[in-house]
Amino acid sequence: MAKAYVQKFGIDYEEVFAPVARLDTMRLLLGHAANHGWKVHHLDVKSAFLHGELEEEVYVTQPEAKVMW
Amino acid sequence: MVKGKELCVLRLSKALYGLKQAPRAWNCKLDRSLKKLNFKRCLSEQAVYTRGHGKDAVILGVYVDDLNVTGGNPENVELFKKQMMAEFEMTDLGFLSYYLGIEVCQEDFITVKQSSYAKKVLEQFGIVEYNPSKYPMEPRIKLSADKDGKPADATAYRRMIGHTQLFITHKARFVILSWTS
Repeated sequence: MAKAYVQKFGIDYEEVFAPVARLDTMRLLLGHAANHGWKVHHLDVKSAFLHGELEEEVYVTQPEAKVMW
Repeated sequence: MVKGKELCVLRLSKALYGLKQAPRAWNCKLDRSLKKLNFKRCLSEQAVYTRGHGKDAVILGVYVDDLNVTGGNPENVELFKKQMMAEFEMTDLGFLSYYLGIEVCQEDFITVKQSSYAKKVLEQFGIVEYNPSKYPMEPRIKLSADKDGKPADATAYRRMIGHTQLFITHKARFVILSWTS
């Protein structure tokens, strides 16, 4: 678990915004596809969050229940 | 922290689930991958990407790890799928059929409905058997205080209202979508 509360103001927690498609956008996409007679396909990325590369330094301690080192 | 073991801390080189940086880190990674595949990010809606124009266009909507793709040329859509599969481990769910509580039916035209979401909500609150009402509240209803009653669960109430609001906002707009299609 990352300890959000030990991070410094203005340094660590400014850049955490990630855009997602709003519902209006999805409706527009569906409407556009319907209008042109296109099909909409659905893909899902497996364990997506594990792909992300960190831009900042993040430190974690090991979970209490399992001491590994 | 255990005394004498203060240095036993790991520096992460990649994101983990539960990390508040994780959604952004993932989105940045996806953004780089899509740009490498010649996609352009929409300026006014950052979750939309396009490649190509007109009939050859591939349009992509991103919702965290869910990708909705459409395009005039099925070959281009298939090519995109292949390219993405080479980059990430992915599940191809075929034609979009369920998304954020909305059922999508794609045949000669596209229709959307929320009946299974509605049913799930009714089941969650144990009110499947209740009679439907045309109005949010009976007219001229007389209410009296239940002095010996237990206090209502405010969280459960808010949850119920939240579900109802989401349901209604979607529904009102979907009528328009089915007209245009």
